[in-house]
Amino acid sequence: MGEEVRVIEKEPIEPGQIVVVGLPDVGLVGLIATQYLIRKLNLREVAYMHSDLLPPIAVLHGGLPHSPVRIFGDKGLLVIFSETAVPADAVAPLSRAIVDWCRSKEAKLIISLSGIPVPNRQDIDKPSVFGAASLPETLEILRKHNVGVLESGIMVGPYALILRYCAEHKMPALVLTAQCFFAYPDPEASAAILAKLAEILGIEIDTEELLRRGEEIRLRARDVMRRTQRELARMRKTQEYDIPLYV
Amino acid sequence: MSTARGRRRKTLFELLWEYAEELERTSEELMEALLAGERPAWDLRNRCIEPLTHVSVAPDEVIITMDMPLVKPETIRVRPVEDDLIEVVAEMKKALKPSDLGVVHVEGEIREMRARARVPVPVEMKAVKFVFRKGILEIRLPRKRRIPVE
Repeated sequence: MGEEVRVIEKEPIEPGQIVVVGLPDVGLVGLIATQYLIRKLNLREVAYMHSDLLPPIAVLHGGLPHSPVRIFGDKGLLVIFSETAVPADAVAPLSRAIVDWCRSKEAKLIISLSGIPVPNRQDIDKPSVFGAASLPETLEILRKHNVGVLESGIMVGPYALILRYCAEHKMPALVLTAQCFFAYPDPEASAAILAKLAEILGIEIDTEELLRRGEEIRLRARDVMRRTQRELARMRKTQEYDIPLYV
Repeated sequence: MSTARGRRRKTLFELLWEYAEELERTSEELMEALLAGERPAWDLRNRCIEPLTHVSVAPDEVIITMDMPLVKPETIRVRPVEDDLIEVVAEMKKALKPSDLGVVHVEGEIREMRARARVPVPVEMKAVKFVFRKGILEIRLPRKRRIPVE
C-alpha cells in the first residue's frame, strides 16, 4: 500500500523544512498559489512523485518530460504541487505518501493551501482566509495571525486526509482556505492565501503580478479546472456545504 | 452437477446490493463513454474558445454562470436558440494565438468566446436577464409556472 506512491529525490533534501502543498481543488486556489510561489521564489525541482494511480501522462517543460506531481525547494521551504487533477482513487494513497515523506524529512510544519467555495463570491472584493490545524498548539498559529478557525464542518479531499494523517502522527500541519468560486479558477483567492502564507512564514511575496495577470491565468487554468471538477464530484466534494450534526 | 434447486435464494439485501453495484458499473461506463467524446476547449475553425459553464436550478429560476476572462463586456450577446438552449458570444479583448495559451502545435487565432448551454427545466426564455461582474457572466431565466392540480 505504501508503495502505491513513491517520492523520488533528485538531490539530498535537508530535514526540518517547512512544506507547502498545492493540489488541484476548488478554485484551483492552492495550485495557482504554489505555481506562483515557486516562480517568485525561484525554487528548483528537488523531487517528484511516481504512482501508477496517476493518469499516464508526462508534463513537458522545455521539451522534457516531468511527473505531474513534483516537489520544489530552496531556502528552507519545500513546495509540493500537482499540475494535473488528482484522480479520486489516488487521493488517499497520495495524501498518505505526502505525510509519510514529510515525516521522514522531519517537516517543521506542513501548510496546505486550498479554497472554500462561497456562493456570493462575486460580491467579495478581498477573499477572507480561514483555517484548520492538526494539533491544538498548531491552531495557535492561526489565531496569532488572525485566521478564522473552521470550528466545525466537513473537509473533503487530499487536504482533509493530510490533516488527519498528520494528527495521527502528531505532526504540525495547517490547512489555509480562501473564499473562492466553486467551479472557476480564482487567482484573487490565491493572492489572498499567499498574503496570509507570507505573513505566517515571515517572508515577502509580491502578489501584484498574480492579480494583474488574473484573467489570463483563469483562461489558461480552464482545462485543469474542468478535470478537477470531475474528480471533486467523485469525491463528493459538495459535502463541504453540509450542515454539521452536533446534538 | 449443480442444480438451481440446491442453491440458496438471495436475500432482498443481496439483490439490492448487486443492483447497486451494477448501477455503479453502468454509470462508470457511461462516464468513460462521455470522456471518450472529449474535445478541446478551443475551435480554431470558428476562432473561438468555450468558457467554463455551470447551470443550477433554483425553485423559481435557472441560473447559468460562465467564466469569461479577457472578453470585452460590451460585446456580450445572450440569445435563446431553442426553448431549452441558450447561446452566448463575446469578443476577446485581443485575438489570442494558441501559443499564448501554451498550445504550440497548431496555428490560428481565437477571437471569440462562445458557448451553448442546455437548460434542464422549462423556462421563460423571453424573460432572460444577465449581468457581467468580475469576469463572470450570470444569466437568470425564470422557470415556467406549473398549473396546480385541483
